[in-house]
Amino acid sequence: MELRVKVLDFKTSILRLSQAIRQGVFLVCLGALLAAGFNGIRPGGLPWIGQWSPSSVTASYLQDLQGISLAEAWYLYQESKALFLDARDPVSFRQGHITRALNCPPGETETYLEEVLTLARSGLEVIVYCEGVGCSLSPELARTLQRFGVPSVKILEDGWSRWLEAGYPIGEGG
Amino acid sequence: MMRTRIMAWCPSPFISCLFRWLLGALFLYAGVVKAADPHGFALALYNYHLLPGWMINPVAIILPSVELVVGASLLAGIWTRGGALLASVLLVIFALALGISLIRGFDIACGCFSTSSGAESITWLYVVRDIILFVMGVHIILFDHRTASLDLLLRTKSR
Repeated sequence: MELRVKVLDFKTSILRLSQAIRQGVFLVCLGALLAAGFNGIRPGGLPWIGQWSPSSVTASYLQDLQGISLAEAWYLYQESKALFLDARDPVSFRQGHITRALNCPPGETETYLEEVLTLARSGLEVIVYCEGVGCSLSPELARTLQRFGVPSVKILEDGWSRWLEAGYPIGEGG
Repeated sequence: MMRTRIMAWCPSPFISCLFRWLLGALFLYAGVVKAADPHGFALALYNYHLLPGWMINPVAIILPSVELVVGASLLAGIWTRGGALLASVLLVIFALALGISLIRGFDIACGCFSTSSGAESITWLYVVRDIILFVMGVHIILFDHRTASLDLLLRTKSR
């Protein structure tokens, strides 16, 4: 008797699952159709194929600022010709940052401006970074530094996440 | 005794209905936020570095609508099991994406309920949240009694 109940329960579960799969597939198709229709008629809809290479994405959000590729930044790092400025908050900085980088959140310019100006005038290339593309902190920091007279400020394409992914040297703590 | 109590509580129509409304409201909200800013959502997807470039825009276009459909299905209680299954599958994918990004040390915005890149960074709490929501989805698939649902209304009318 108990065995029969178990077999029935199992059959019911399988039936429920197969019904769920059928309905799920239908809902995905419905969602996709709605999406295609809505995206087609809305103003400013997304193109189905987009440009998502690091340089094209960075160029689209930097506007008047200058970007620097990961390869170029890595070369300057190895040659000790770059000053890396981390625009993220101090907590994120302590959890991990590019080795030798300074933590420079855009809102606290007065605490590091003098040091940055001295290092920049000594011939180092100033490279700022934050998390990744779309992070507004590095453009904000770059504009602030330029306003205060730092000669050339570049923004690292894709920022911290790409540096980390490449396995380049990182430091932790303050 | 304890086990019997838990077993009696689990298939409760009230609990299943509550889970359905909660998941439905969350998916509907997430879908509306993403559909309102597809460019911001595409950027949030890109920052995970998990999808190839050619997949980012199609996913940014389709996913919000699928979330809206899932949310509506769960809230109204129509094709409830399908909606719950889809919600559960999506939640597993979201939890995996978050977990992988956290292991890789990325300090990125979730893109879950906001498309702003300045939103709070992801933490392991986000993964835990998705796992809890996943359990709710599975509960709905297994124990939903069609309480306060369109499924039940349509079934009653057709009889």
